[in-house]
Amino acid sequence: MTLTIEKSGLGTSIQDVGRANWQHMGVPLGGAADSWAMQCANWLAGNAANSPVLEMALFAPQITFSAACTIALCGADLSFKINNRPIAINASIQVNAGDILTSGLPKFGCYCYLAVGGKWQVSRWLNSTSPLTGNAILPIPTLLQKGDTITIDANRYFEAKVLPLWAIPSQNASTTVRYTIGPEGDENLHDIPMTVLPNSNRMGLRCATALTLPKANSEMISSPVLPGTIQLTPAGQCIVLGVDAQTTGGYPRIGQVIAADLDALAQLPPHAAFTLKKVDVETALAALKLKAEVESRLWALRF
Amino acid sequence: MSFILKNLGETAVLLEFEQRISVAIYSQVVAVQSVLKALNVVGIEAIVPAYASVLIRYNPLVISAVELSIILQKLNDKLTEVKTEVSISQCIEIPVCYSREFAPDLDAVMQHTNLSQAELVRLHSAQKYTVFMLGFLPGFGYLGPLDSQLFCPRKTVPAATIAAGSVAIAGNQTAVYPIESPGGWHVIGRTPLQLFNPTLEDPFLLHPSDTVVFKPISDAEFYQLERQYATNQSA
Repeated sequence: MTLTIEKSGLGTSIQDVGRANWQHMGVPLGGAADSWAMQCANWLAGNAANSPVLEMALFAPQITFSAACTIALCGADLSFKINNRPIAINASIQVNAGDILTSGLPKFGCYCYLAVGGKWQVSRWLNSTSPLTGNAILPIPTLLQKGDTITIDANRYFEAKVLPLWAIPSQNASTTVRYTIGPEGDENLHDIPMTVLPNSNRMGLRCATALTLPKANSEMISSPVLPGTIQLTPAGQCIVLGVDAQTTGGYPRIGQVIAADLDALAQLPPHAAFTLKKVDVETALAALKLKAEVESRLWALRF
Repeated sequence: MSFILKNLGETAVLLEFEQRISVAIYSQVVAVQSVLKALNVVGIEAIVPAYASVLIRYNPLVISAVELSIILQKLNDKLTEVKTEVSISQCIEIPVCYSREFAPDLDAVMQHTNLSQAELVRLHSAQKYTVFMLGFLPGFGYLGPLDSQLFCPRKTVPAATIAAGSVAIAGNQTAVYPIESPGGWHVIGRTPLQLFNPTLEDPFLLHPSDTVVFKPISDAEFYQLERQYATNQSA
């Protein structure tokens, strides 16, 4: 089965869980910006949790399928249609040979994931399909453009599946994202209102705030950072790092977004207003446990 | 020697040494990293060394922050006994052509440092550098320390494109751009050597704690080596 990009989208790439163990060589963690939405799409399509998916940002490409297969869309709601008829996200869908997937205006979020049931014939670098942001020429596809194709050994069976309500990634643009105080943070920091600036991407969300630099931290020796690290620049701008962020940085790390909220963070669209809400490590840990429970509950479900 | 622990969220802890760029401090980073690696602690997902810090990513649902900090504290107490010399993993010679053609910022650096081109080349290639850290780009090594006569502040406006292989300086550091990229460092030469080759099993020429020497070469040697490396690659 061949999936063909008929019209380019804004940012379309083949993603998986990324590269967990290459940060010491300067290679970003990468992977799907919203990893839970990726997992949900794979679950619906009958794939393993970390199978490759197509990540589509804000304006999705037009796609045709050369043969019947099972697909699922999770994450941002980009008003998808098949052959011009609206379709639901968060459910498995049977498509036929020649079907055309299109999208309209984004209703919620930034990144949507298309899973196709079966084995994807895609090349990997350092054990991942995820491209790097920037100029590195890798032996794997970069951003997909009009005319690009993906070959998939599609499963022949179709299983009607709907994502349980308790597993559905939040449908409302989150207005709060929780964080804990970072190594260069100030204990006096509390909730921080922010606005996502338009020059944000998978490397990071640039955010306007009214914060000023904590004392004596402006000249730092570069040190490791992570997706979710909240950096404060001398100009008073916050950069909340994304999955493709550089591995080290020299700006004060005033906070760290809690792991359970990283997916919601990634879904914040340009111009979104949100609050970074300070929590303690115990709260962060409890939220992570909850997330892990939902994850194992979903994968234990049998239809 | 000792470090302090700081949380970077609930899934990572930062080991922070005295915040100074020096081989002495860095040797502590390397010692901690290698001892930790050998301990093979269940729940630790990644160890990321930097100039004067080490980041440990862990799964808090497998090992608690308290359990991890006990292990790290023990390590900290023992570190006084560990020899603090960097065990040199490998010394890499990087041929560099310092010709104007490859060095768009040569004039600016000569003006800022009041050095002649010959002095600049001599000072830059006389030093044995330590790879303190990789970051910024895949395979981009932060090398130092640079001779203090070569100190130049970072550019206020970064250059839009710096060619792959460009050898550059900024502050007390030097580096080679592994791929074409925008950048704020001053380019004083170029190597025909590939620092990043994603088709190789180990795509990276430089690794943390390697040592590097730069060997000046002529334009003719540059082009000859460039051809040679291209042939080797296609072979």
